[in-house]
Amino acid sequence: MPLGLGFFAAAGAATSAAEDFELIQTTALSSAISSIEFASIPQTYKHLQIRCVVRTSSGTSSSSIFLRLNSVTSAVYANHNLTGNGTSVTSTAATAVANIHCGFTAGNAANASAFGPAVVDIIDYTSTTKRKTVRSLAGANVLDNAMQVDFRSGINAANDAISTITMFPPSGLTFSTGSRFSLYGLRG
Amino acid sequence: MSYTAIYSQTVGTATATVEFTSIPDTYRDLVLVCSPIQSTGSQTVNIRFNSDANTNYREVIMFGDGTTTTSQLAAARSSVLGQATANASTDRINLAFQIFDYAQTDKHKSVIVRSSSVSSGSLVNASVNRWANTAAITSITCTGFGNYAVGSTFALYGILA
Repeated sequence: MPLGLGFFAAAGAATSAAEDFELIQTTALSSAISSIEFASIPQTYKHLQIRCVVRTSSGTSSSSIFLRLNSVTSAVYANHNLTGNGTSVTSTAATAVANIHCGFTAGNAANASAFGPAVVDIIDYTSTTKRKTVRSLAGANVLDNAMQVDFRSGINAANDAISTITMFPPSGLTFSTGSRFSLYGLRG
Repeated sequence: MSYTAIYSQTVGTATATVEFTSIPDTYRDLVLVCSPIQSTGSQTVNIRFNSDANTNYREVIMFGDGTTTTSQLAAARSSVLGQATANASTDRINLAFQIFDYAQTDKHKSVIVRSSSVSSGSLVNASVNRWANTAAITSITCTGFGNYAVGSTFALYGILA
């Protein structure tokens, strides 16, 4: 039962209110870069979502994606993860670390056309009465025998509203050409 | 609209295949949300892109069944598997396929699948998949086991970037 273009209109397309899920900014890399930053984030939404497809310059097939809030670089974050590597499921935790770990993505030893996807949610980012929880679902499906799926959560140690988000690979690496990071605001 | 409903269908006559064709290339990501109902036997949603039925899909999955956690990988599948299975007509399963950079021709296509079922053999699943093809996705074909029953729903959304 093929649904060609126009079927939705004929069925009486539902339309949403004005931009409940709204694109704020996209960065699509035409050259390698050591980090990307979403700055001056409007404080008019309830939650934020980052959607990205990423590859790094790592010499391995998979590589990490890290995140910091409001440019805080001190060891005030905590992380948890639930990870499946194709063989087993593991869970780890880390406290007093200098970043939030969003998951693993493709490194430069991955298949040449492979990138790793991630969806990162930041809940109640404008609140000044609670710490910020960052939740991510990501994965590296980068070689036929090297793949990983990650559920991760992170938290910071301050109640400040979030106005800046920085994403970066491990030290010394860059995000590769073709990587894309998009920030969305969700109204609530 | 940054998040737009493109196509939506509620199955009115039992059918083995639901297909979305002529997908516009104006978005950056696609989200396919499915709630299939069993017609006969078990039911799930597996998807193929551009009618590619070759073993060009790679998968790593993690799931829990209420007792045990498991992770598996598949280096050569002929579709992206939805994994959650409805084993009875009263079972309800939900699947969401997130397809990234679907119209870009500089990379293979990445898909994150979240699915869950409440039935005999209930599972909560997450998988990351790669369609090893740089072609833009213009069609998505959904198949399962046997027919999708009346009332099964499929909705395709586009996300701008």
